[in-house]
Amino acid sequence: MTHKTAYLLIALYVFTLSLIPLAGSLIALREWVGFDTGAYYYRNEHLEVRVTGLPEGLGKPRIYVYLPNSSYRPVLLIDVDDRESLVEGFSLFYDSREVKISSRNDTLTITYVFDDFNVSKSIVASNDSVKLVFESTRSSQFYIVFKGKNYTSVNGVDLSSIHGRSLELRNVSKLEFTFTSKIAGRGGGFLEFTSPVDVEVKENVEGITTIAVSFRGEKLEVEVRGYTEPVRVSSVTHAISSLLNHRVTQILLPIAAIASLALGWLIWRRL
Amino acid sequence: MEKALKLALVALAIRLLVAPFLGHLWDVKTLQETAFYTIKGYNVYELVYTLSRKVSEASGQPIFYEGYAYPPHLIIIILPFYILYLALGGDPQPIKVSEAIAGVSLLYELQFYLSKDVFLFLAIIKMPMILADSAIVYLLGRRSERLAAIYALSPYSIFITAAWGMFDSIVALALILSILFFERGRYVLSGIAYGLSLVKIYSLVALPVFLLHARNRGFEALKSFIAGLALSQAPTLAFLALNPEAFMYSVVVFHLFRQPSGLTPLRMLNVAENTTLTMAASTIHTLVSLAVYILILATMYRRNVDLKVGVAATLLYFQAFSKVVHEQYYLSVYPILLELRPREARVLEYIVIAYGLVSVGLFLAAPTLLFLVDFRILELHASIVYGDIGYITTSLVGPLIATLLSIVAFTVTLKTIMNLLKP
Repeated sequence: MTHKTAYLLIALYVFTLSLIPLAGSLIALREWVGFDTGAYYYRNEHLEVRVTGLPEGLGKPRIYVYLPNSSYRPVLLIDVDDRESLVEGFSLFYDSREVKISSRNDTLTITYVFDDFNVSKSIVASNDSVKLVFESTRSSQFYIVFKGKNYTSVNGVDLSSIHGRSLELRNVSKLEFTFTSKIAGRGGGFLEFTSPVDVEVKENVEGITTIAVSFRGEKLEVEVRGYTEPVRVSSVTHAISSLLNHRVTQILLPIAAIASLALGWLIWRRL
Repeated sequence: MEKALKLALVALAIRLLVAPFLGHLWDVKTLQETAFYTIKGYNVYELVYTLSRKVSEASGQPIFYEGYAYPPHLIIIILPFYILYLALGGDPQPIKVSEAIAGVSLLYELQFYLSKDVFLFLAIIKMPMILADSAIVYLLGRRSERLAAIYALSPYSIFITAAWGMFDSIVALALILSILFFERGRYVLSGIAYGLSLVKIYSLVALPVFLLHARNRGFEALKSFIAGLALSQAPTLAFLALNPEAFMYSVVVFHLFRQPSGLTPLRMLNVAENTTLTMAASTIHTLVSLAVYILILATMYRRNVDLKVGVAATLLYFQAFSKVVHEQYYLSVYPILLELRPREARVLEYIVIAYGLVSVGLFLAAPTLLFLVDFRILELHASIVYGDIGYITTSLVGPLIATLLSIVAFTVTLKTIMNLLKP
């Protein structure tokens, strides 16, 4: 085999490898991807759901929405806090004896094993919403804590007017909230519950809003939807923001591969 | 004083100056925990295995606890140094982690905190690797002072051994000694030295080369080499007998199922979002790499290549085709390649250094110093790494630069193998 033929074979192999991420992203959109210890993410054109890993333990899941004009830097919509969420008074994070995670198509299920019962939290992601299903093996008292940043109102109540106090809502089937964001400008979202729940809303000085949902039963489904208002950005900002995301990396990989192979060939000939 | 010895002392002095102040915190902590628990009478493989199973079962993914994952020889080597450190009054665990659950998250830096004894600990625990580096310089110096000087002053070997605290210099020294003993007809000693090189199991790729050459020297040579090798593996067999499952899981399974990383073109798959496609590509890569390995061995057999050349070619093969190629692996073959193909050795060294500069290695080596200067500097460092610049770096710039270097390293390594094996 001549050196030229050998290099051609190597180049073909490397270039084929470089195309796989791009090909994969076309197929894998709308699929849970595991990438770290217990960490998964799900992405589609409108939203992103991140389930952080064991070391952090917080925010299982965090739901983000993309700006309408860019897939760079999704904006945090809402976060489910495992540490503060309780079932029968037990913290999902601190008190569960074991945590198991499994994924299947668009559903990621996290099972928390306690001494006398199990609790599962399924995250079902679809094109424009995320459904959270909380289920216990027996009828239990659930206290689910959602957190959000820079919320401005919940169900029409201006949060600046309740500063230092809490807002209590009884038998609620739908919550609507709005927020501001440095990146997005303004945005909002909805939480729709399959059965009525009691809600307590609190805001701390750091701009973190806590939405604590209480209900008794075996199962509760929460549909989460979010949006950001289109913001006017300069074409330069838009171009940069569009450049800085993982999908562009996938497109650029084959180009980087060609450049590297060209450089490799120059060195190859000299050695 | 002999020039080779002078150069070895220079190498020793340079590395001793660097060693106390830098370190890959996780890797050095692994050495610390290994020595600490071994002295307490624990089987370190059982500890790692338990943590690995916990992480893997909890996450539902083939993810491992990154602890001690090597044959036990290194434990025997570092224990006297750790005991010396304790005798000097050092804190038994100078590197502490607040929440040591997984250790695979890049966020782990902030969970470290250090005792003031860390300087002494780093200097002493790295001593076997530094001494191995100095011995390599001495052995190189007896053949060529120029090559010895290159190795002694090599920023790459200083970085891996003295700054990072990795022990690939021990692998390199063991391989050099094994070849030397073999050339002198001391086959038992050659087998023992080769067995020591298996402290990083990647040097297993060179085993067929040794066996082939031993067979060419006659049945007695082959028998002696195997006897030496078997003797060297007494500690391995002892730990294997203690708990076979824990040992195999930590030392073999962990390496087989790790995610692609480092200086390999396969790392491109890390930005893929389809696990099925990625697994298929990985399988094809494994098949291709097996075919190339067989081709290399067949070529060696046909052309009856020199033992040193064969060892270098197989280790380079590993550098090219392994799905995990960390910066330190190249050190195991670097001094051998310096003797055989100095030009290629230097080119590969530059590529690995360039990769080391852009990869997390540098960040991981720096915190030891930063912690002790001011915690706020570490916070600033974290905000850069994990903030906007970090986002751009990890999602776009990092993967592209690492890909570029990986592909160039792949092509240069393959060309070096071809040059080594050409008639």
